[in-house]
Amino acid sequence: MTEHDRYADLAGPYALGLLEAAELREFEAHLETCAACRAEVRDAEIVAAALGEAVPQHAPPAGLRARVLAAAGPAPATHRTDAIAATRPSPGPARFAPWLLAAAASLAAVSIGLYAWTLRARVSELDGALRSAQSALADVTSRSAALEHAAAQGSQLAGILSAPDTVRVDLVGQPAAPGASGRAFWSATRGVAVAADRLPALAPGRVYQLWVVTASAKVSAGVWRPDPAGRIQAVAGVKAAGAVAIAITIEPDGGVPSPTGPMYLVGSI
Amino acid sequence: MTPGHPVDDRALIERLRGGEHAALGELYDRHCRAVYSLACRVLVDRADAEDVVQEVFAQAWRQASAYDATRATVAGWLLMMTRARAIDRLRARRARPVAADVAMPDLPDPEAGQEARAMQSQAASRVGAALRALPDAQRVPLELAYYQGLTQADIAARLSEPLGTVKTRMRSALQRLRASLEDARL
Repeated sequence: MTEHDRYADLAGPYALGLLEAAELREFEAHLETCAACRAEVRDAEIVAAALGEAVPQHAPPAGLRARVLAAAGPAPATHRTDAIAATRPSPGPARFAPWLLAAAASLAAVSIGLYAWTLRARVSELDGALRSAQSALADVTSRSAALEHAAAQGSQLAGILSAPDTVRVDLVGQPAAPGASGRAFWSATRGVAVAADRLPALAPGRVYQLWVVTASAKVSAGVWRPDPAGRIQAVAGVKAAGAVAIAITIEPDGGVPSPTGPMYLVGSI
Repeated sequence: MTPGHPVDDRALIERLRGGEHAALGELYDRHCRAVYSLACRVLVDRADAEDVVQEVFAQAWRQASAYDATRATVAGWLLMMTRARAIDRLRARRARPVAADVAMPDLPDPEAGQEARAMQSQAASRVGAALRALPDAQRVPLELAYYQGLTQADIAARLSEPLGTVKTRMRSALQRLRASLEDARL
């Protein structure tokens, strides 16, 4: 593997905002002198832009528009530094948007590199301050969100159990979890409630995902983690016509749009 | 709502820079579906996705002066911000204690299929088709990197593959997807 090949492998991850710390700085320095890598970064950005659109499309809820416009606040000022840190995900030291690096003559690239270097120090300070403020806010937000969720779940569960179209579904442990069992209540108009027992503990980076299976689709009803006794109690306001089964699979942390992992529990409606 | 026409979008950004609030409403109407859909894909939880939509348009409003038309379309710029914010939120969620980690999607859209795909740009449908055509060994690392923001080291650990293998496969996947866009107007 040549010296250049080593950097070429980094072009894609760089464009996707996945490089950190020393590797990031090294690659950015390399970019200033290597047109081939700049071209490869550009190509990866083009793919990334298309990947952003290549997802299932959903219309946002009607009330969101008013909230967005209300939240926008006072008229914009002219700040470049904010934009630079905020168009890429932000772990590790601040990185600045590659659109500051021109794909032009090397002299221009070097002077932009020096300018960007001084900018980086300032952005890095701002980024640190912003990050501690954000994590404090996230704590408070997550606690009140958890309470809201608990209250909403309670009334949702009552709704499901009392709906006229509710059916009971017994869930059977599959070969991956022969000791597990569960019970679900499914209402096509209100959603699903599940109580599952003796589910194996999750490996790191994994989560259980609940599905309502119809003839044409597997609709996600959320991701869940068992308590230390292997129990899950789940409630989700999923609506689906023609459901034929309820299933629980194991998926990567955060869940997936359609099932990829083995089934742990399943029951026919 | 049809995807924004690039020239009209740029005019919209100009109006945003001038502080015209009505322009923000128009920007939202043109792009909210794309922004929300990407946020849903990354976060699964609809409430989180709605928060990200709010953050992205607030950021666009504040930073309209930083938009560079030579570097990205307005749609591309918004989606870059969407992905960055959604992944930040995903990482923050992972870092929280287990009890608070509940994702509850409500009313998922069973219509997301033919009609929805028909409304995507040509580039998006080409790359979507090319993505589905990739062998799993290449597609999975790329999806984990793009939609989950996992570093290559994380991906290697999760898939129990050597880091070098993950790097090579991701590079191949990106090259194939880039080739699929060769003829598309971008």
